[in-house]
Amino acid sequence: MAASGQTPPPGLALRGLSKTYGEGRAAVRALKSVDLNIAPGQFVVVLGPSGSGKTTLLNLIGGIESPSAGRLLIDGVDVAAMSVEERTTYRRERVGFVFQFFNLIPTLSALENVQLVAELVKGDAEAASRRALERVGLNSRVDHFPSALSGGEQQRVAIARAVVKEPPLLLCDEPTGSLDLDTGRQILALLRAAGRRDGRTLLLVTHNSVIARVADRVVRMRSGEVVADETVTQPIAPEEVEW
Amino acid sequence: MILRRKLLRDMRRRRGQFAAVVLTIFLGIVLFGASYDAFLNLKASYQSLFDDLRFAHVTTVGGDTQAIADEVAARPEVVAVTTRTVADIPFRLGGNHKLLGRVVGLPAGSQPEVDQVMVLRGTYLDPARPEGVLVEQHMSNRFGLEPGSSFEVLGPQGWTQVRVAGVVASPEYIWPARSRQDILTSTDDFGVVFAGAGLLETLPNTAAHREVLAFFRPGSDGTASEAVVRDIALRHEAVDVYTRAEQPSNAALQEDVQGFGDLSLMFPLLFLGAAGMATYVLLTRMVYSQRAQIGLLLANGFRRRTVFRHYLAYGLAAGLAGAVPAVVAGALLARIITGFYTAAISVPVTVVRLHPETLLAGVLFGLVAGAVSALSPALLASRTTPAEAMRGSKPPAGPGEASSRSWCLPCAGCLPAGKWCCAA
Repeated sequence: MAASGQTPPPGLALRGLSKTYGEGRAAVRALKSVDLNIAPGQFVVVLGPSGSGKTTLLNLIGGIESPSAGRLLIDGVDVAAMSVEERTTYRRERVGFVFQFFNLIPTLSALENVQLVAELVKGDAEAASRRALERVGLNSRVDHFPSALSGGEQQRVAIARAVVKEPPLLLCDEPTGSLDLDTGRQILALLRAAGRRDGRTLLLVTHNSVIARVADRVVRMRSGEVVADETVTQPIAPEEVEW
Repeated sequence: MILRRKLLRDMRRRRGQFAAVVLTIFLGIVLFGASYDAFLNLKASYQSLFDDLRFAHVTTVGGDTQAIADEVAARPEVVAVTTRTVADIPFRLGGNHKLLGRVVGLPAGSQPEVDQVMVLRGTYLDPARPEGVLVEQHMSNRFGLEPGSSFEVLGPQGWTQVRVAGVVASPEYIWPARSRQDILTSTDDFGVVFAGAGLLETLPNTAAHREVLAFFRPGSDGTASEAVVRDIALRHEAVDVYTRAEQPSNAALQEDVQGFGDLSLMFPLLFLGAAGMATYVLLTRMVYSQRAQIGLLLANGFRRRTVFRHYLAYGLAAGLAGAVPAVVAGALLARIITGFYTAAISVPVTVVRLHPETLLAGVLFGLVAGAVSALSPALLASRTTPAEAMRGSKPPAGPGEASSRSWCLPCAGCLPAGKWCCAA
């Protein structure tokens, strides 16, 4: 599961990145000319209130939305200029997503949910999926369906699903947003381990400022703009997080 | 592979709804298979009977029948020619029931070359018993005339008794039509008997006319041959010429059979249309409910065509699940329907065959119905924007703003997929 062994973690460079939804009077500028550099292997938390544009930023970096203007360079390649097909390949090979609401497929078991994504890349999908679930501590629950798993367990399955392709870039949108404190800590620990251990670039979006303290760096957003960019000198352990 | 598992489990999860769709497709294909196979069987039954009894390709009425027969017989495409006498005279049955009957001349002792009869009961005409006649089956059934029965025909010397030697089926009277103008003849008013020269010679000349019947070589150009015979007949002053297709009984039968064939497509289409609508609604609702899953698949790098194929497969699976058992059931039901039909109109030959083309068409219809109805939901699924799908519903458009698609398709918004299409 060593991402660094396959594809080196990407360096991200955002240049004047903007996103506007709608047109005319109904236009909403979700992102306003954002400039940002993220070093390979860095754990960055994007912090901001609802509507600040942090999820939009994540979607643009993940290639599931196109910017209205600006450039998004991943290792020097402009994702914004990619064709639909190229962006699909980019997402398939380089990006793992973890969402707030897990989005597990209810008719598939934990193993199958992970395997579904593992089959997108070459190799023994089932073995890779079992390994990924083992890493998140779910080796005894592989055959359980989402309805039989707790929220924390479902989010662990979602993490296993995100990392099973061994993507060098892990994007997490409010991954602890619907979890209690203890479970949230466990999930943060797993995510940080998935980043640190495999040298992944980890971008986590949240409105919870406490979580920001576990990261290497915090980018604060408001009304579609980056208002602060701070390096965390002494990140705390996920177990120390309180909210 | 896992997507295939998802497909099966999704179908199992919505088994009630899918079962209803599959059942509707099943019924549509069963109807198609049963009625279309029966239609083919009926055509084959008629054809077999016509071939066996050498049903005339062309019949000419009046004129110099001997000259017509000689000239027609010389044609290379003509296999056999027969001349005969036909007379329409009153019959009297049971002492008081009268009807306008038809006496058709046959050679006694042997079948004619063209327009033979099939003896169902009793015996063929015996030259030693000139009073014997063969009664056409519809008349026999209507009046209970069996071999040994007798009834009267009106000759120049008054009512003459004739004896039934046998009951026969004739390719000319499968549907007992008196003439092309009187196709819906009641068996109360019309009956046909076949008689030898002995009886026909006693009938008044005014009631009788002569006919020439021609039977063509198999594989010959029917239309061209018919035209040639028509020319010959008219040159020899025939008063009427009609082809096999124009022959009253056959024309009525073919119209009936063709109607049956048309219905074999119309009714199944109604069922398949209903199944298509049901599949469309079911899949559209499913795509709606699975938007987040679809968004996740796309976000993870599944190609849009994979998502399209996945949702199209639901329709194909429903179509296949309905069609495969339906074509088997349809083929079995076709046998029963063919039997009922031929018995109902007294066709003495029943040909029942398995038609692979109907089986194949049935399966294809099921697949096409499933695919067409799943097409729109599958397209919607494949066009999902992952970010929007995972965010939930798209923010509403601004006030007074209507999508261009809703302008183009004003009714589209009334349907589940249409609403989405217009909103997208």
